[in-house]
Amino acid sequence: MSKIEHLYDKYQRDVYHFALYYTNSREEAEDITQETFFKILKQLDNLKNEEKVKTWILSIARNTAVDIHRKQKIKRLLLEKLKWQPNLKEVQKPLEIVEQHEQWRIIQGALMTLKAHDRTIIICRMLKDFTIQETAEILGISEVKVRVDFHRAMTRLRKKVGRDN
Amino acid sequence: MEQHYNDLLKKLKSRSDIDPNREFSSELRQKLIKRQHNTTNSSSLATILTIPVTLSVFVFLVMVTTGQSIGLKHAAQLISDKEKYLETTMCIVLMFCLSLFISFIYFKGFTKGRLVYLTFSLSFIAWVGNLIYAEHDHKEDSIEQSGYNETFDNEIVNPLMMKQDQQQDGEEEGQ
Repeated sequence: MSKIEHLYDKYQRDVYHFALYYTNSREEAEDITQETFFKILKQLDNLKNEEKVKTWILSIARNTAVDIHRKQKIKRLLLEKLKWQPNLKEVQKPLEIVEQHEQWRIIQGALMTLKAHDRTIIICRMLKDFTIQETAEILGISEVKVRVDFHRAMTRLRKKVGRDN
Repeated sequence: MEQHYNDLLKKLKSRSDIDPNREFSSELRQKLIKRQHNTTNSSSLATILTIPVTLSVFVFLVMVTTGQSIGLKHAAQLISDKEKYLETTMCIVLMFCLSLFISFIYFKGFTKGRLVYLTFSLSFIAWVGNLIYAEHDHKEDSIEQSGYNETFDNEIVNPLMMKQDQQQDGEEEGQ
């Protein structure tokens, strides 16, 4: 088994989960996972510290997620603007109504309203259970900043969830 | 309240669509294996261009620092031995700085490092080419002649010449 296959088997789920929480879209998460592993394959020779491979991969995933999500957002906004007729809301099917009341959707919705930095910190610390050190390495910031920003991000998330409820 | 948020986050952790599609996973794995074989066999255009450029730059550096085969022409050419020694020292220092700069750009791995390096190398080659051209196509310096000025001749030079002639005539007569 080659190195890239080994890395793929070990970290594919982590990358996919991160992308899914970040974008809340399966299609975008798949795009991000694919692009991330293509980048990893390209830059595999540059990897010097084998111990930090996890944070290295996640930092690539994070940068890729930011890029792809931003592009998709612009695309969506342009398409909405280009539509001639006002976008009438479709009648919700009973199954969708049930799904919307799934509780994870509430917090995922709130997470999506946060800024990219706050969202990334919450995903790393709360949803993927990365350590403060790992989160700091992924984001390229100090551990102290991670602690401070995490508390601020959680406060904002609580406010959003409280407002939605 | 804190417990409530933690419960919500736990539910998000185990959201219903958390696992990636199996078909997608296996397809991506296959793509990676294919790509891996392609990348190991082919070399990029940047590599093809960079290697000869690097070699030529270093050959030039060696030539200049050791043999001084490509000398500076005309005004930059120095005459005395002391100045020649200074020129060689300056050349070595300059070339050392240049090679350090090239190595810095090349090994630092900037995002567009290769592009910067290639641009720099190309301009460097153009400079070397120009020097070689000057070496082989050596033209003699044309003797600079002062431009003819009619006003100068008529109004300034002629009266002065006349005065000088008159003085000379006077002196001759006196003798």
